[in-house]
Amino acid sequence: MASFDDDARPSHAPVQPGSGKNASVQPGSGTFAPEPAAQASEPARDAPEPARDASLKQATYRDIFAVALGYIPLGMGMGMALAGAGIDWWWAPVWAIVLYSGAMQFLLVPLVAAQEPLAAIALATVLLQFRHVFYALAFPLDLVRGKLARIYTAFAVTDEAYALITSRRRSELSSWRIVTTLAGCHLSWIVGCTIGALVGLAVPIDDAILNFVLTALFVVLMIESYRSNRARTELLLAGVIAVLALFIPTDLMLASALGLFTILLVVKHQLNARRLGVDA
Amino acid sequence: MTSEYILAAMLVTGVITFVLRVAPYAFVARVQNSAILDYLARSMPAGVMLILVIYTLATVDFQNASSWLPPIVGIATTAALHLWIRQTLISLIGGTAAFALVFTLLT
Repeated sequence: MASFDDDARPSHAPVQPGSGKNASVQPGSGTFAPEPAAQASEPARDAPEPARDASLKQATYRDIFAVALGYIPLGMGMGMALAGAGIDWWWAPVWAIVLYSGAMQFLLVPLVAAQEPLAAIALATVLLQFRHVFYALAFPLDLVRGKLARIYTAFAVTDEAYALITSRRRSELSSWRIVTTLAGCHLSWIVGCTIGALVGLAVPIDDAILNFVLTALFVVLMIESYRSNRARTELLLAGVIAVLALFIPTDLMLASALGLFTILLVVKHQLNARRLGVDA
Repeated sequence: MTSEYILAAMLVTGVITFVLRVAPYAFVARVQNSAILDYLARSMPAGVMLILVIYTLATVDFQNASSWLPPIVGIATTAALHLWIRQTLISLIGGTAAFALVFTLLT
């Protein structure tokens, strides 16, 4: 994969006026101490970087702290749902390390509990995770040095990490800062999922309640997606398809609804393109 | 639910997620210029989430209020909290608490 070699592609500086202003303020007034553990994730570097600067370090730890405040409770909910569904608790940290995706891990619990066929799980994964393709458009991966660090970085760009990194000015970022931020967020997610699974084992909560966290998570993600794109016709179409799909057997429902939705969107796009005389 | 099945499900999910996250950097220029991918990126996410919301309700019995009332109250609370405060964690905790309250009262 050629683009994981250094300097393989031109850089696009994300222009976010007004964002990231607080990254350089208040040296020495950080509210929590830098954690030496984060040093372990440093990528190989051949040149000194501005992120070594103490205030940038503190800004990085503040960013991680902000994401961890959300990731630890959400990860705990994930771990509890997993343990509540009767899946061995140690899958919680394994999934957190290997998958590192909140929505996908939450969805995988009922899919696995229902023994869905692997093909249905694969289709659900493609459609739920497809949004990641577009994170590549604006993420400053070219700042990260070292092939392994780049691959890890591309892997670890979750919704929150994407929002966090792309809201910073390019001049505030460095290889060290990006990799440390992503590794710190990942670590907080692993800790949250593990604690949740152990708590779930010790304090059994009715799994109907834990399963509802997934429904609520998708409601929130739907509102956020709708806010950024306002695709009203498509949302309505998805609703009609999903309600109709309730009448077919449950194990076919998700794959059929997602598959039909994708096909109809492609058809709609092709028809629009033809009408406008645009070559799609 | 054997460990082999859970491992296989995790690997399928993990490989696809990894490829979707990592591969696009090799094709950034092409992805940037694809009209259909651009359209799908804008129009799909909210719809996919709605399908997933309804999928999670597949086992609900709509003839039976003690089955459908808790998720409907929970969804309404989650959506209202999120439209109002827009803090994911508050929406999730509030919505799940509302679900748990109605669920406990009715069962």
